[in-house]
Amino acid sequence: MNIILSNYSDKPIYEQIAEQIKSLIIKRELTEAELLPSIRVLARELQISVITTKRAYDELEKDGYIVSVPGKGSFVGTQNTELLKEARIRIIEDKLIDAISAAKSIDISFEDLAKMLKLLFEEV
Amino acid sequence: MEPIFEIKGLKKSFKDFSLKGIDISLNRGYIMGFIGPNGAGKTTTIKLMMNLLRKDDGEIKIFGKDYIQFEKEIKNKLGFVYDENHFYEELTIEEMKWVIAPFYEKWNESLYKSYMKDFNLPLKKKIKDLSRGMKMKFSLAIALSHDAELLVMDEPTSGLDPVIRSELLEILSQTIQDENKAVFFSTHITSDLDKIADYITLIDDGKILLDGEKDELLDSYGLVRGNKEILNADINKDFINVRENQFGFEALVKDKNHIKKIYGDKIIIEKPNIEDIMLYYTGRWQNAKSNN
Amino acid sequence: MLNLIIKDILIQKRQLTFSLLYLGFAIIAFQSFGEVMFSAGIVVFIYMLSMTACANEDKVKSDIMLNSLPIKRVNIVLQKYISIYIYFIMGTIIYIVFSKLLQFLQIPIKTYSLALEVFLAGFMASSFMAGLYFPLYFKFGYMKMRIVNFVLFFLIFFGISLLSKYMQGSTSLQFFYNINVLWENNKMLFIAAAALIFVTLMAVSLGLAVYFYKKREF
Repeated sequence: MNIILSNYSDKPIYEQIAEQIKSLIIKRELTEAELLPSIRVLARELQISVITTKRAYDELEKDGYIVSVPGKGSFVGTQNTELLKEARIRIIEDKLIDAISAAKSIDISFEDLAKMLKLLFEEV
Repeated sequence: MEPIFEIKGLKKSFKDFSLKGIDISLNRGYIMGFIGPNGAGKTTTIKLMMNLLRKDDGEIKIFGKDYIQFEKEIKNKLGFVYDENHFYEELTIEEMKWVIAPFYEKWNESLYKSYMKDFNLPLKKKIKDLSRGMKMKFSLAIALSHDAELLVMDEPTSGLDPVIRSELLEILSQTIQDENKAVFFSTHITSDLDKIADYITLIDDGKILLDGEKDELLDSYGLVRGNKEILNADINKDFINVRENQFGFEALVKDKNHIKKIYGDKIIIEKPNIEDIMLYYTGRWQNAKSNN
Repeated sequence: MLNLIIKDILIQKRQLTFSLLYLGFAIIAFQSFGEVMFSAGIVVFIYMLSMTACANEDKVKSDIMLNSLPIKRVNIVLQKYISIYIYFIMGTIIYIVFSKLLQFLQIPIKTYSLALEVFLAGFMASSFMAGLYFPLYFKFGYMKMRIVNFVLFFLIFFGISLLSKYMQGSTSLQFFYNINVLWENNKMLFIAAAALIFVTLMAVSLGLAVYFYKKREF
């Protein structure tokens, strides 16, 4: 399991962790019912506060991605397709936002961007 | 769950400094960084906790018990590391340990030996011949070898190079894997805390200016930069403190999202680090004379 | 407690050897004291050892470390007092061994086997010195009390020197005469009285020292 954090991102660290784990779960790199590292081990390895890793796990649990069992640890939950799709759509939207910000920063118009999208869509 | 230690309304007066009634508490399983400029009251607070100084007023409870009534019992479970060396210079490491270890009920000799090995400390060397870093590591080894639940450290990394500081932080990280333990750690080298602290308490001039979860603070506070033209009474209200230079200003805000919404494009907002928070809260540079 | 006592000895390994040599040297140097050379020597021996121990504590501000450990302040104070008598026993044994050695090797240096009076005098003088010094040491610390202790030591040493002169008949101080009369007439009573004074003095001294040290801030 790989988690890479950025200190300079606008996103709080707990969000970065939560999102990366969500992504791993959706991409099935983390399998159903797999045991996740404890919040303390994660905190030590990433050199961050355990409060933050706990917050990330709490968020993951709230959104239904993982299940925490006191005394045993946190496990990847069982997924249904709708959740998966919704999550993937969110990821796509995020990436589109990134592309749009990048385009705007060098003054590329919507039309030009759309053209680029169409071209690449056909290529991939 | 009861805090591992709790300080309430602690007061202490000296001729030219006083602790003006401070509250601090820490739960088990966490690391708290106790920060502040030199002379802010960090060492005084720690000495009061260790009963090296007598309080004028207030309450101190450690492990849920009064810190004087149960002093010996508490100190058995408390590990300490100070910035200055108070071990006898003429003794060797082994001799010094021999003096100290019997006082602790739960001294763990094999654990101590493993720390000595990990830290690469020469047992037969005299304390006065040890480098500063080695002295600190020795202190730490002793502090960790008697099943202490609370580790109290007063500027343990001052005067040490970044490599040793990083080693110390790793050891503390490892210690805190045991959720029953806690670390209380004063420093003015705030970069040490940017990573591993769970909580931050900022003290200045004997008063607590700020305390909270470190990551929450770093996430919600913002370092704002912009043109001086946009400064006015209104915007100043939102700033903890402002620092102007010839070409613009820099300020610390508590709620960066709020500021972003209002001033959006006119400013740049970045994530602060703990040092920024400390500098802006204490506003010390205002006393410094400008060089141009 | 034991490790507290031994730490003082460990700290001054060098000083210890030096003191040992010194005591031997004192026997030679204090020839003029006559029998009282033991009393004088032992006072010097104890003075040097306990002073070095206190100086070492002060050098590293060991109070901060000691009081961070689970030790009662009473024991920290008690240890210093007990050490005085440990040094006394050490010094006595060294003296006896040294005297016997000199005799055995037939070295022409006069030594005296330990008489009870001399032994008691040394014991009382040392206790007196410690009893007066320690409350001040525990209240004010080593640095401030260095001079006081030196003066104290000097006075006591001077007192013993006078005693020796008296015993050799070169002075006839009334004080010593009276004590001698008391001593000769009823040794048991004298010892009992001395013991009582000793116990009272040390109890008061210890009590004061503990009281001061408990209040002390570092």
